Amino acid sequence: MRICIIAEGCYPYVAGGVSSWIQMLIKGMPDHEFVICTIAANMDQKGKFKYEIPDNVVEIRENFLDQFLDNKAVNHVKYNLTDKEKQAVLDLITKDSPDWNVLFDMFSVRGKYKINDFLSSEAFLNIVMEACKDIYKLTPFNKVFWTIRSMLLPVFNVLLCEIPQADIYHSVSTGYAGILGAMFKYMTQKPYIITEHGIYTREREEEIIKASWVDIYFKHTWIDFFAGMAKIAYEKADRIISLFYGARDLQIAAGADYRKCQVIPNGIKVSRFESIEPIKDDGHPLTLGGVIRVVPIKDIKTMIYAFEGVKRKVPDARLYLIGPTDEDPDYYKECLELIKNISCPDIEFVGRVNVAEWYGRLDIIVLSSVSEGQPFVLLEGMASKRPCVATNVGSCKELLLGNEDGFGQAGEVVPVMNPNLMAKAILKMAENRDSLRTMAMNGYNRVLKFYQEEEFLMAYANLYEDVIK
Amino acid sequence: MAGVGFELKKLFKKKGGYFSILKGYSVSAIVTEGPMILCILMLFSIRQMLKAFDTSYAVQEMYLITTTYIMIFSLIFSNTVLMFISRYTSDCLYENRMRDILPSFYAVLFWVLIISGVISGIYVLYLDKPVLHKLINWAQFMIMLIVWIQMSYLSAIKKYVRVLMGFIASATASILLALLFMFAGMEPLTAAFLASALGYAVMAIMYMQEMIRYFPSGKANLFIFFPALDSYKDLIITGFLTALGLYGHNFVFWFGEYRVRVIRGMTYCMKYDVTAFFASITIIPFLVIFVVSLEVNFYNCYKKYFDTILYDGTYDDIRFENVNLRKTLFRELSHVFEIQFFIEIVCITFVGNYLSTIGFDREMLVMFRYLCMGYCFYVLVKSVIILLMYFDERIGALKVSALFAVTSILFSVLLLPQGIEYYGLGFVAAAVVTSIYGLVLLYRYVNRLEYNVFCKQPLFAGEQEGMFTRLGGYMNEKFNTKKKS
Repeated sequence: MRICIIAEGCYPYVAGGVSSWIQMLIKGMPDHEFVICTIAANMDQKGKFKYEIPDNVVEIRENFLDQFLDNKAVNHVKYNLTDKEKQAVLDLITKDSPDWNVLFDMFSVRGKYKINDFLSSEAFLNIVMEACKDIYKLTPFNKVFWTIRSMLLPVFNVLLCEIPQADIYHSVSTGYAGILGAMFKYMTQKPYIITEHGIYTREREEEIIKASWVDIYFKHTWIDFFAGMAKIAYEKADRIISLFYGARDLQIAAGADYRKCQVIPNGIKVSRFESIEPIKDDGHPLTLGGVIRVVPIKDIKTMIYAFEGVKRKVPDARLYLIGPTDEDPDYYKECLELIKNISCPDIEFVGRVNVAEWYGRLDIIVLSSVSEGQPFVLLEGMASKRPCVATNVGSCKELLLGNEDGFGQAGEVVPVMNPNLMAKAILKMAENRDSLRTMAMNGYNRVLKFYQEEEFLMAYANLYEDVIK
Repeated sequence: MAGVGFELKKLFKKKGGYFSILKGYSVSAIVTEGPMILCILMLFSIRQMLKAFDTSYAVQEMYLITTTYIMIFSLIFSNTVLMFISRYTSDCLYENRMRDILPSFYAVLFWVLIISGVISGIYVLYLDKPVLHKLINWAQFMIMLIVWIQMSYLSAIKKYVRVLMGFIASATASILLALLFMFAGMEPLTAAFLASALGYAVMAIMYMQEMIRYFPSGKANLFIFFPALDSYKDLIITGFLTALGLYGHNFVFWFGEYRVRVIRGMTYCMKYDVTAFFASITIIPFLVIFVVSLEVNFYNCYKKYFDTILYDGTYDDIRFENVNLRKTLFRELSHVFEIQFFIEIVCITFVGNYLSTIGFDREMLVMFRYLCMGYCFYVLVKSVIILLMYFDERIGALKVSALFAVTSILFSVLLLPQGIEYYGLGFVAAAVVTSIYGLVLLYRYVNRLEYNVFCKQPLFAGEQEGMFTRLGGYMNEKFNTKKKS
């Protein structure tokens, strides 16, 4: 069977959870062939792979949001749109549910409209003007025009990619990847699966609200636009997979049909951590560890503040920050300065190491992220028989407290960006070494039951078999 | 600001009834056509002097044709680069690259002088004239090229009064020098040639002083304007075609049966050329009205329209200004045409009679009437080209100027064998055809104004605001190109 994985902004260019997941999936299914259809922001990334591509990947199709951006490649053509086509484009820029089938026919590589020409055509201008009689009535026209153009350019660019030969299309998010998946499904009528790690529309929404480059008039336009892209992906998909139940609920709220939704959690190779001893009771100082990339989304600063709180009560406590520091050097520098300013000793940046060797030295795994899907670090921590303290994001709560699965608590969950509560939770756990060990075992048992790589691979193997029928 | 037009507006806004209005008209007339008239004044004064010194008709004719040749051909050669220069300097001013302006002047001058110097040099060698005269005439041709180019640089910074002063000084100097030389016993024709050349040299020196005073010096670079040539080569062609359209029909009749050969290589058609000259004078009212009425009123709407786009106007706001702009544009255009038409009717009816008293024969009078109608439509052609430039529709302007150049020559050639009764009709037909074409082009353009403004721009954002603003800056300077042709 040949599976086409559609990956946006992750594999194989960026190291991280989603990328590792893809790598694991592909390596775990050596009997299947994979085609990777990537979508990256710009052409500079071409060919810069961070992962060793497994042998069963038969092809990598690289696509870039700016691949056909060329001011010279514009012809001033007169287009006569049918009413249906006009309506589809108008709905695309004013509503979140346009007739995407029409749009696919118009702008795919075999469509009769060339995007650069279309976006420079009078027909397009007239549609924008039409929108200005309605929802943009009070918005500066110049801005409407440029915003809509820059909104449509990348999507139309993505639609131009050739359809890879495959039996199943599988996108690892909605967004641009979802649009591609939806188009492949529409064009080939082959099954299409979505696996969402985070909830794409939510993440974009947060980003857009914060972004200074998006004019206040258009925050909604952009948010609706991404919501619309997710909707069509959900609509076309045969199965919509989430990693945990919280995410599944969000997908349904965003328009996914609950009958298509399914939860397949991440899995890890527990054997990798088998040899790690349980926490020793030899009076060693309290040792905390964060297994993270040093980047803002992980909110290392909160962890540092929380540790400082712990340190006041337990002066010999120590904190290891395990993971690459070079992904966002500015943020790393800020963290170092923060540590200096609050003059908190015993914090060490360990850098890129073999994490499996490090879990054994820790007493508690700390995760302070502001956003997560289903973090591998918690799974690994639990597999290493270590209790965890994590912020209440993504599936952390489900992982640590269990979905009423009877295994009991594997750690504490605290609100995001709250060093105080995080410190309190750590101190409370550290008070009693016996309960630490109990929590650790709860977590270990949960991982054994639900989060093993074999289970994960089996679930996907079954899923693929299932949809192909 | 719309160049001269805008300064005039201030003049008109002051209260004071008819007198101040008349003053406004006369100022604009002087600014736009003053230099031309002074040149002609100088020409005739010196010619009168030659007469007074008892020279033969052949000598006077030689002076007249030589000076006219120098003027026409220097205008054609320089016109080729003037539009480009206007655009280049306004870009420099807009982008605050003041230090590039003076070097660009030297560079343009270098190339223009080399190219036209060689071409005219070969031509002059071919002429049957004394070597001294050849040298002086050739020098005057080169000096006049310099002067026309200097003028466009000075106009770019609105030194209109300085430009005019230069002409007055030059005309005065050449008349006085001619008198001096002739009284001193110099051979009259040599004296006339030398005085004219020196007069223009005075002008060139005065302009040079002004230029050095106003433009900061920069690094010399003979290729400084070459990159700009890339994007504005159409302006070079338009400039050349505009000048060709204006004089091309004259050239045709230099091959007709009524041509007069003064010497080998210097021919003219007295009947046609003199008539065309008088007919062309009838468009001076247009130049004035155009500046005052069309440019000022239209410019307001034009500016409002683009300001609305730039400063966050909604779609409805833009539509409103669009309607306003189109209405004003065509109202003013028809206004200009109506007045010009009226003037031509008056000229045909009354001036014709006057012309017969100064020696126009029946054929010339018929020709004069034709040509008056021709210039009436030429006015529309000219307006359309300027308006298209306003919208930075350079290709449109190029098409119109090309059509006019081609048709005015082609129709004249086609009608040449039909005899003198048909002289001038070719020009009329060309003007009518081109003005209709130009109006259709302009009408289509402004009817799809939003399309032209938004969709003709680069696909992705970045410079879009600079583009409009720069367009505005260009418009300030653009007026000067019109003045020259």
